[in-house]
Amino acid sequence: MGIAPSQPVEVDAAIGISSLPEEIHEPLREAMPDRLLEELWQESAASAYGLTRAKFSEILGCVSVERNAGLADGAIVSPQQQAGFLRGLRLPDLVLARACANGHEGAWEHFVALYQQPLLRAAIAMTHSETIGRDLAGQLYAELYGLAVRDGVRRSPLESYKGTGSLIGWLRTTLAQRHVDHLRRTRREVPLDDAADGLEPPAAIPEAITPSAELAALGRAIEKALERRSAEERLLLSVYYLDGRTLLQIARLLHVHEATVSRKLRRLTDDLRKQIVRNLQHSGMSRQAAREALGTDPRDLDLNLRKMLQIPPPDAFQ
Amino acid sequence: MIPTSQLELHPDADSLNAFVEQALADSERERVVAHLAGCSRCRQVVYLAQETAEAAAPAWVVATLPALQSSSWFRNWRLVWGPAAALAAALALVVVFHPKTTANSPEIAKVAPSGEIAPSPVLPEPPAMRTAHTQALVVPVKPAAPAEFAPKAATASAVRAQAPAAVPSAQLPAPPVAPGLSFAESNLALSPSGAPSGPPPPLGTMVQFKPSPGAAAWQQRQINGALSANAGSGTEERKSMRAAFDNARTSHTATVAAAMPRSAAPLPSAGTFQATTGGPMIQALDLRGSIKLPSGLAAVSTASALHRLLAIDASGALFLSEDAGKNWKLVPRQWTGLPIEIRARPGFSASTESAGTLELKNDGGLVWVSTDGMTWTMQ
Repeated sequence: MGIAPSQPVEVDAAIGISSLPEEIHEPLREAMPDRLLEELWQESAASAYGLTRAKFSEILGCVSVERNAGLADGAIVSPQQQAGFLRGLRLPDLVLARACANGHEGAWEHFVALYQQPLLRAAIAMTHSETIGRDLAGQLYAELYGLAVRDGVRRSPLESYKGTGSLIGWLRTTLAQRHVDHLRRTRREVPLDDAADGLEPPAAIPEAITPSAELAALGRAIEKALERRSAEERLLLSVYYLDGRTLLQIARLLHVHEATVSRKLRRLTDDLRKQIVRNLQHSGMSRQAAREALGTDPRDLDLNLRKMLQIPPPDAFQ
Repeated sequence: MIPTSQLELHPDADSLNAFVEQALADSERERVVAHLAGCSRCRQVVYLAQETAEAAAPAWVVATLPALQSSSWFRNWRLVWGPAAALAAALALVVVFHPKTTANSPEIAKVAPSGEIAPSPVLPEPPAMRTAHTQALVVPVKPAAPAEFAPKAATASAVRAQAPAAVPSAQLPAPPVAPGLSFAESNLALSPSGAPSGPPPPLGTMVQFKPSPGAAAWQQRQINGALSANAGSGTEERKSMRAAFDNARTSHTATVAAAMPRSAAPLPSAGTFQATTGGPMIQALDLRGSIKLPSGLAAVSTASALHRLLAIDASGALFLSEDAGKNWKLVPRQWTGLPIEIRARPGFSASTESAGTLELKNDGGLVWVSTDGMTWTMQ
């Protein structure tokens, strides 16, 4: 790894939770029973990184508030639900991440020993290149170390780790985010020379083809049919038809059996077909005409399926 | 959250990682899934993170992960293998040992009492059961042998020697038979189809067995059902018997009916045994074990009609005897392949010999026919 914490950074231990308003801290601290706090404290081994019980309680309160104890936004959280949520957190990982974000030297040593090599291997595996992988891992490592300064305060992405999943998983996902963002950014940027070489003389502008009423009706019917599908069904369609993932890959993603994915897909496409026919009939087509409309060449349709599948849920990420 | 042009905000790495690791609560997962459905960027992130995690995990963990998580019901099925194997073993024991005990029981006749439907003879039977049925079937016809019955063949002599010892046939009244049918018509030894795998039992042992009255009645009912359209009381019973004896009627029953006079007239001096390999249901006495062929080999198939007796030995040679097996002569080879079966076809009678035929079948399934046993033509 190119970057190591050669110069220990003196960071106030309270930086990690300083953003949480004080008025939120106090009620949570009061709501958390001492017995539960002691139990979680022992489990997390937070004392090894110099975290006090008060700081530990604040970290838990911050996580619990941000995630609303795993419940839907606005739902009232009972003490039992909060206790269950807190017990389900990866507390040792959470404490290590927060200690690293706070600049604790011992935590950093532990972090490097645990995650330096896995992080490098993951970066190389993602980029399929040792050079690019080392660069990617190095950049992330610098970010984690808190080299970025915002508003005069050193910030580390480790502060955003909330202990829901494992720390190594979080690191891999963060690496993947960086890599995907980099790829998407660089794909949009085409060098001017290459772009100029690849240019062809402008072709004659084709006459605008006005879609027939039938095609327009079909487009609306498809859109309405997709709107009625659940989030998981739309994800299934996206993953299978847009991304071209195999049944096995989808099965691993959704943690179901391959046959289940196949069965769901078959049922979903059958339902969609029926729903589209119904929608077309509602728009005034006969059943025969609606069935024939399903055989339309997709190239004749002016549809953006990606956009249609981007139906934001009512409580979208904000 | 990172604002992008595609969707307003993306889930953070913690949520995406928790989705990959199945650590999200339902409500959170639903939100992530809804976002992933429309966000190719986050789907790519998830794919990459998941693939990297699988690459980092031991191979066996990756291979078994989907199966373990999704097939809890199947894991329960594994517990069924033990009881299923035990049940199968118990069933096998019953199948193997039950027929033996049944065959050894002197109460064999209870299997088919007169008032019940006889077991379907179409079904293959274990050797032990076949022996029991053979014994039950052979004996009742012996008393029907007329006093004049005096076969000259050694095999027939064996029968004659045993028959008086078992039952003084001349003094015994003939058992009841179907109307219009003399019991002499069924003057043949019956045995179920398919010879036992072992060597055929001597004739004496076949006729020494005394069946219970029930078995005799069952045998008689079978004969009646097979030979007489009017015989049999129950329609169902007759149907089953007719179906079972269908083949027999088309081959050997007709032969018997033709060979035997309809009255109780004296039979020809020679035996009237029929082929041992011909019919699937009713067969004549098995002569193969008692025939002494000039080749010194055992007979693999025999047939008899009137005074002629034919036998194929193990080498495939066909022998003909005109004196019920005392003297044999080799029939010149007029066929191809290896003869494996000889049998008499229906219509072979004393009065019209030409109407009946003898059939010889080789190992290739080809058939040659003859009326006198010496001259054979391909069918």
